[in-house]
Amino acid sequence: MADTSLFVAEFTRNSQRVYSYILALVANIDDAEEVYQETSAIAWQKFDAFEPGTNFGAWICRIAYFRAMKLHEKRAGDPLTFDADLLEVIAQTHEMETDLMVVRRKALKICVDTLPEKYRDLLRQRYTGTTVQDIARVSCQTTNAVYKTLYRLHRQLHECISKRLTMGDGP
Amino acid sequence: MSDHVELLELIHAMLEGQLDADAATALKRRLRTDAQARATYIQAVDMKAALRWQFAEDRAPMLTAATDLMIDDCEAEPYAIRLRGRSRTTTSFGWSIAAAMVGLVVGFVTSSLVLGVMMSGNQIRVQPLLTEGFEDVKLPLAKRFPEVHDVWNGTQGLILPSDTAAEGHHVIRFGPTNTRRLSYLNRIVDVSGLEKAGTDEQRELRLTVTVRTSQHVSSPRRYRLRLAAFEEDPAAIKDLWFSGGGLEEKALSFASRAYDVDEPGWSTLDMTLPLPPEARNVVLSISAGSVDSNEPTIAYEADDVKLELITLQPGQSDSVDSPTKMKKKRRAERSENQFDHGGGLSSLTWNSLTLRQQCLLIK
Repeated sequence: MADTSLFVAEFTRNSQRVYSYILALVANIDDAEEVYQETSAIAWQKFDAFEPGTNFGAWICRIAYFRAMKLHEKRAGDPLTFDADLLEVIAQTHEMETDLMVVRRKALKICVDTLPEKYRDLLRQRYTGTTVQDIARVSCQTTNAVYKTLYRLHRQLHECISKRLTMGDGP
Repeated sequence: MSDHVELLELIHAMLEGQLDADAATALKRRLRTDAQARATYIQAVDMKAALRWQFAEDRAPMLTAATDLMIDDCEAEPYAIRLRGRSRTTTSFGWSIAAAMVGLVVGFVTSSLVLGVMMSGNQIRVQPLLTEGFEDVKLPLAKRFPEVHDVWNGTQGLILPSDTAAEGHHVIRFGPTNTRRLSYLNRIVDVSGLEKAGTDEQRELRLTVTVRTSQHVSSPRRYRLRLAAFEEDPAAIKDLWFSGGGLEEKALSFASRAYDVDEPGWSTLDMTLPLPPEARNVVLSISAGSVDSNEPTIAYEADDVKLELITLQPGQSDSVDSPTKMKKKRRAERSENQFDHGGGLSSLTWNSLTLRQQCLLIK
């Protein structure tokens, strides 16, 4: 019988990293959620095979990697899919960037707090499952306008993070 | 527009599913060759992941105390729609975290891995009976239809390493056949030790298999999944299986489902079978062949085989998704190249679980 509390602890500690890793590999927010769910379920099913004391993050990321690869294989021919070589270099880059991610995430929280409330609301809607189409419909905007606003916000946050890290006043 | 800004815009469009084919090809080329572009891509991805996490936490605090997890407000949530093939889901992220954890908490109660989901007052439990990734290269394979439990038999069955396995690093190869048109993969699973169904409980089995051809072929392939429940022992089942006449007559319950597939790569197939209380053994059988009988036979590969027991305990309320309604809904979604015999689509299918995965209630 798998150690439930160990799984909960390890999963909670690594879940954000795993989601980020999956999003990098599948390159689509909606697909990432699906692969994340599958990965979580498989990790629990196979948790008996995990050796306590070893790297749970690496172990579950391996599962995620194969799920992502499976998704790309299913969509072979789609211009948005990644081939095996690209998948591998993306996975490696994600691994290399891991340490920096922790610092950037802390800076991101501060940057989000500096946004006007209406923009924070827009991000909140998008990142709690509301589609761009639904946001556009409710706010009486075109879908394209919402996409552009979201893009500008992301760019602004990206620049804010870089600036904070460059200035050395990061968290 | 600076090169960096343009790159960010392309990455954003890709992650939002808004990139056209030419731009996607150009972006992928750049990611392949430009290390700095890859670093920017990972930063943009991780920022989106972090935002998703941050706002999901605002809405559904993380599972710091799993045993206390209670998600209410389910009925207010939109259903998540999961389609076969290119899937899209609108599941909110906080709930998907919960979905990942649900098995754990129920596990505290039942001491076994069971997924529990409350749907419109109905309690559904999912218990894995078989999870096979063929990772054990020494897995014994029977040369003929198995006469004992828990042994795979495949037409020229062979476990092989594969860099492109659906799961893990190995697959089972079966076929080609010299004597018949179809190649087979069979196994008998012992279900005699399962807890008896409670009053009013409905139980069924769900089989999921991932299959592909072992070589590229341009013609469509036909896969057939079969499940049959028996009261007899495995040796007697073998005699029944090959004794002629319909399995519908010989088994306690029997279902068969065929799929015509013309896309390359892995295909995930599934089916369900009502499980009668008298059942002691269940045969799962996978066959594969060409739709055109004149085509030469080839080998096939299977991976990630799962058999699950799904138990529905009807609750007090059945207002939104009654079994009949769900059956109709799933029938409407059924793709045209699948045809059933026997089990068909049931109100208890796994897909029904994922339709409302955000509405998890853990007791």
